[in-house]
Amino acid sequence: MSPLRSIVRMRLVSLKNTTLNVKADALTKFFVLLFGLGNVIVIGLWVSYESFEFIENFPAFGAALNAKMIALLFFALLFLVILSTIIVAYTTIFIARETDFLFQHPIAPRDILALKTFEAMAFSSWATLFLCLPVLISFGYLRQAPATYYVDSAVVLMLFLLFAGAAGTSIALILAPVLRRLTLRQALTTSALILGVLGWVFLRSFNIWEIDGTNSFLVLDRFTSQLTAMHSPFFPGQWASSAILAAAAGNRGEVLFQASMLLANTLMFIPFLAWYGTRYYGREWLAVRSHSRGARRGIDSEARAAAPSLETRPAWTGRRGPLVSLLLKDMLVFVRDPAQLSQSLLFFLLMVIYSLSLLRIPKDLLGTEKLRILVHFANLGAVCMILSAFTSRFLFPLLSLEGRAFWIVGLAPVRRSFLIQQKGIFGLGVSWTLGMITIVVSNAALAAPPALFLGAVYSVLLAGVCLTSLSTGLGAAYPTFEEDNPSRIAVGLGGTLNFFASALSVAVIIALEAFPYILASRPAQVFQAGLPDSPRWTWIWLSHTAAFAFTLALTVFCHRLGARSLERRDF
Amino acid sequence: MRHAGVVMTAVIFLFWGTMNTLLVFRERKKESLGQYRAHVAAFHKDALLRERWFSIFRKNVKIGYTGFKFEKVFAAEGIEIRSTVESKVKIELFGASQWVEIQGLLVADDAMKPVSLRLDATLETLPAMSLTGKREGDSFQLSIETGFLPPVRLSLPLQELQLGDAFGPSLPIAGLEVGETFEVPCFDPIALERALATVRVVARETRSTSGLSVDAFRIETTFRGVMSLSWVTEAGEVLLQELGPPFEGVRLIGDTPQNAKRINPK
Repeated sequence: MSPLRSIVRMRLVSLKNTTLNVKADALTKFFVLLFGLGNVIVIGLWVSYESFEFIENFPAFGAALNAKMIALLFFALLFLVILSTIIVAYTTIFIARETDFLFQHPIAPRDILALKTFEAMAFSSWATLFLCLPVLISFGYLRQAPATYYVDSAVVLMLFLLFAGAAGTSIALILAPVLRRLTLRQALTTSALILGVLGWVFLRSFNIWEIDGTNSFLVLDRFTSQLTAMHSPFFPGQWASSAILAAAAGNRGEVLFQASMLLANTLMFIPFLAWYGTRYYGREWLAVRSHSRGARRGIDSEARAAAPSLETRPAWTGRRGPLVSLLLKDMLVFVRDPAQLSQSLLFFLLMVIYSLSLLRIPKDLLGTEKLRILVHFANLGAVCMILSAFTSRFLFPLLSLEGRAFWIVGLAPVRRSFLIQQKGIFGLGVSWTLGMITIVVSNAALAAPPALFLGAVYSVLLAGVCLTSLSTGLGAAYPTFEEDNPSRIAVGLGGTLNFFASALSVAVIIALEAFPYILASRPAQVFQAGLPDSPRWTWIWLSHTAAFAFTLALTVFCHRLGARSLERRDF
Repeated sequence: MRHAGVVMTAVIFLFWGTMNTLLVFRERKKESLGQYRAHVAAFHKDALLRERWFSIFRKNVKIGYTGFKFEKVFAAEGIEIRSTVESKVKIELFGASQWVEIQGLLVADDAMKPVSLRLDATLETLPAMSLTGKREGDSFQLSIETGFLPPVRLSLPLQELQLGDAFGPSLPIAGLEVGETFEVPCFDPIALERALATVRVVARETRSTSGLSVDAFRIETTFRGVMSLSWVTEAGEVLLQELGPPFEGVRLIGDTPQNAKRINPK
């Protein structure tokens, strides 16, 4: 049996054993996840159908603009999936601990590369597959596409993601000799520079500053028309979008041609990867490992030289307590991980783009009191959901990332529950900072009245506590110490459970905060018939109190859940 | 088994080479098409069926509608382009204002040369007219039948042909560029004549439609002495068409089929 087949068999047996060992509570969790995922798909279907229908209904240009939207979707996806795969592939193929383990066995580097490439591609594109399928299904439904469309679109999307994944992996392999020579500072500066230039070019080409209520579609139309690469017949995104549009129109010949173009160009990566795996992978992996060890030694010696000894440390610095020491350790580990750092930069960019886009919100949207309140709570929801994504991706894996070194912090002279509190303080610091900046900027852009402004700030503070408690509590209750890839930890069973619980808690806080405004918007007879006709401020204070009580209860529950699980855990 | 890898690699290279060569040939073929045919190809692109519907107004009063369907069919003989016209409009004809109804189907080959034609026109004051045509050798034979005259036979050269309604042709074109000029042979179902329509892309302008701003090309079309101005989007959707004398004041506004057909014939 070939080594690659052995590894695949090992994975399958492991999966089978995990399935057989599923207990009742794990089964419940699985169904909760399934329900959550189902909700995401249903919401995705509904939102995309409504959006497509809204555009399609504009006479004369709606259908053409929708076609351009599909082309734009694949254009953006190509770059995002490639970028994501470059990061995931580099860490999985060269840095991951499991790769070290596999290299210690008599397995050909080519087989290891094949396995790791497949994993990197799967991890960087599975979410795109789940989120894009509802979009394509709703587009086909709107266009009354034939039944074959649904099969065609699934196949085309899979081929497209395989192409993007294979391209991203190949770029990561080509860039590896450059990346390993860069110091952390150089890597950060280069990534920030590239991201900054790309972001500026993107925002400039989109002409985001010109968007207002009346010409936003015109700007969008011009933007999609001006992207010549997007319409080029030699561009992979165009192959995918042409195939989807042709499938919706029932043009099977065109679907076959464009899908074959995608397949042919995807398959071309196989000989390249096989050649690289045989000739260069082993050598390059060794170079990356030895370089990182050399760099590590350099950093350590530099640090030793720079750090004052205990005896020579100035008196004013005092002794670091466990909290400060652990916080500093977490921060250091975070910035040293290129995957964490690069993805947090992307995340930060997303928040900046969101805040900037609100500066140009159509003024018609804020015309009436009802619309103003609707936009206010929509903005609050968006900020909280961004925070939720942040805590799920970066805070939940924090405890699991202690990994095999957990025994060090486990043996530290602090209670285990203190570790959860420490992670919570670290997470709260980051989420409050990010949340405050975004909510203040967005509310200033929306010119929110003081009561709504302060209410939003209060809600984000509470949401920050809820989301941090959930991430740290569930992170401690469902740790994955064997895994060193934070992306994988975040999308595991516990991570997905945390994601849905976070979304639910955000929904509860927003519902509680919005309740007085919903009451105020109801007709007077409803008040008289069913609800007391109380002054609005009483309801607002009551809702603030209820949101606070919910946050407090959730925090205590999560902390206890995490602490109990962690206390029981052996190393 | 020993050479399986080499064979697989060869197959992948062959497949890749074939597909990319096909793509290059396809693009070259598009470039080698005549100006008009290239615009027709851009209009159809991935879609097999495209429609255009207009509400017709004279001095802001709705006087009818017209609709065109352009369908690409993969028939046994090769690719066929089927153009359908359905029109109902009240116009001044033979000194009287009367309803004219036109229904027609033109089947053309991939080169836009006609294969067959069937067109029925109904006027309030005259018996119905029926026009049929079919390709014979290097010519296109037309037969016109009316209720009060013996059948008339016409022979047209086998050239690209487009259908029009009572006001002129509606060309299935997209991907235009400012400054382009081209001529297209069109058939006038009222005058029962074939004539050249001269199309000139004058400028790119921003037009307002349904309360939204849209970029469109302003096109001047001259057909049988009637000049019309049209605003056509990049994808070939016609937003508005304004007719010159003798149809001054007549505007064709792009609409949905349901809205366009909603008229009161009285």
